[in-house]
Amino acid sequence: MGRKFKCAIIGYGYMGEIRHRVIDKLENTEVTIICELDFTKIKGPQSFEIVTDPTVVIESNVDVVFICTPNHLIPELTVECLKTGKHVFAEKPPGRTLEDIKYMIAAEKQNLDTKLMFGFNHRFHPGMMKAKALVDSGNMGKVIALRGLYGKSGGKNFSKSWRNDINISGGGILLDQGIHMLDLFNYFLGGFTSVKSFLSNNQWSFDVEDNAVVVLKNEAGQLAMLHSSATFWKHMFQLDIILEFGYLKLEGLLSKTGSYGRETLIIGNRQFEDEAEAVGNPSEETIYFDTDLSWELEVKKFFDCILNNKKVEECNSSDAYNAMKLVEWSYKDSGFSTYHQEEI
Amino acid sequence: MERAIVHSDLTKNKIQPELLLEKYIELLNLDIQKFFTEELLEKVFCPVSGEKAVSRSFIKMDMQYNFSKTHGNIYLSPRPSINTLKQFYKDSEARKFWLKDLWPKTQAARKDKIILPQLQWANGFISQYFQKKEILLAEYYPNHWGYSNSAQEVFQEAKYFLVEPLFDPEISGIPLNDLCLVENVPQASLDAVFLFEALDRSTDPNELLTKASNSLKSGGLCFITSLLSSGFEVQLLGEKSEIFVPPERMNILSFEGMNELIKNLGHFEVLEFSTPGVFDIPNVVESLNGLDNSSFFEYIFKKRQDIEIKNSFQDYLQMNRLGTFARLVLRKK
Repeated sequence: MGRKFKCAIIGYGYMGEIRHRVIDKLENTEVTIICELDFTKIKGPQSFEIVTDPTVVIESNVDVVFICTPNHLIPELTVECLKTGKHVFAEKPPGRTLEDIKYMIAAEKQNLDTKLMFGFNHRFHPGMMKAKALVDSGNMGKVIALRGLYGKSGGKNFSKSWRNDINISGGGILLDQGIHMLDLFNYFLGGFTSVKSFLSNNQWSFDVEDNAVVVLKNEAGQLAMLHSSATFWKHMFQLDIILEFGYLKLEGLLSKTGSYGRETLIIGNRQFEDEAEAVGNPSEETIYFDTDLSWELEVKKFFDCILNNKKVEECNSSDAYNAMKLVEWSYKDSGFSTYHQEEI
Repeated sequence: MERAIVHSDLTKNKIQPELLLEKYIELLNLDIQKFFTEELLEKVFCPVSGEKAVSRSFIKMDMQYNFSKTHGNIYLSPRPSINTLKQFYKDSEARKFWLKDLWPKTQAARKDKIILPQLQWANGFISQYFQKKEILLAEYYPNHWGYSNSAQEVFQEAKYFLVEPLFDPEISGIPLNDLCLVENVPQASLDAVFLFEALDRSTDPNELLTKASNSLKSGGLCFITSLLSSGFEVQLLGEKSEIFVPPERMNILSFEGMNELIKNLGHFEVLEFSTPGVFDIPNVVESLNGLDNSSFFEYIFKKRQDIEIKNSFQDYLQMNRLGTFARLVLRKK
């Protein structure tokens, strides 16, 4: 890299801090502006400008903007940054509705010199990359079905979170966290043509769902099933990939707190009755992963696209649209939310 | 970094039938007398660090194994030169017996339970790190052609070379075009290299790993399998362990020694370091009698008669990289 990219971060909560750490680690990037209302969130030496008005970022000379705000602010900020020629890395979910992502895509098309990427970092987790490579190698045959569980423990301040205010978030656990799993469903299968879903807010009685069960099918007859929940009472991530000649089971996610458990990938090979092994209990290999480089890898990929003027191939606006479409479709099919009424 | 826990129904008698193994050892004893006469052996120090200090030594089949003081690497000293070793692998009656008698009788089990799973393990990483399928692969210092023969099943579009095979190519029937001398491997030409127990049988593991590394392109992968002196079996049985078979086991590095070897070279990032073997417990159980301080293991492995204890203990060894068989994946920086 010959030049140094000036970066701004809008929103300095959990994600903003992570993005800052990653940008600092890269060789030719520097954070020059942070936009945040609560200055106390910004710790450590400050070699950057701190502002409260995002317009300052939009009108600045930064090259790249990381938008780490609550969902309702993402579309407008993304569009304004793209319009002023800035590359944008926006967190997921990409807004609150499918309309939001369409709005951002329109701006992207009008500003072809800019790059737009969304933070679907689960694709870059070591277990997921390994699973994807195994599936893509074709040695285990075609994917038959996917089964995902993704959930949170709730917590003391859960009821006060902006994530449960539909006007800010646009949806509950399905949009907040389930969208990661839906993106992974698209990553491994895609092309879903049928969606059935049941959503419920029985436990917390917020305007947004606290549990969602979504079943999907594509034209090839491949199936996927998700249970996204804010009431698992523990942090939980599990993705089963059932293939022609075996299965992969991803459990746990490496994270800052380790609350999702150790990240593991179990590889099982199909064994039939005529084989020597115990039927129904094939030998398995369990791989444990020690290091999560997902945040670094996705941001590196983004900068690689900018520097080398490459098309954003992964976690791009199409991926965001496709994941959001499944969310929107689920809301619509369940009849749970009147917030999402767009025709799919 | 990754680590794996592997469950397998592989048993020793499937790959090392007792009678054939006895015959092999008998021949090997004779060959050692014949090929490794005193004047052909050279005294060496720890093959990883050059450390002179030795914590203890023992003699196996008339050859001496030393334990390096700092890391507990176990190594033959004095040892044959590379040329003497090559001569041994080419003309030894024991090796001919292994290739012509033992190998054909155990080939099916070895292929099914060891060779194909290891090639598929490698293929998992290759699929992850390379977009293309037409890749160049090389196996260094193979002492049989089992991997090479099965490679086509796993890497359909790859080219697989054998570098400095330690067997007579005429017995194997492998085309000469697929064989090459280590000096003739072009620098930075290969996508992946395999060192299947090659560091164990190498006269100089540092040199071998350096050559393998030099032959790799940037981002290329190096797959290693090896036995470790830090493994449960060696730690518990010491010289009673049957893994000490010279000259095949020239170097048995510890977990720390292996890490030091890689770190000192400085060419690689370690993607995986696992000890996924399944023989530690059966081998220990077989040799428990007469061991000092073995009552706890007598109790849990023999008296309790609970397969779950053995299984969970095996998992524990693998999980914590305390097994005797190791596999590693390195990526060239």
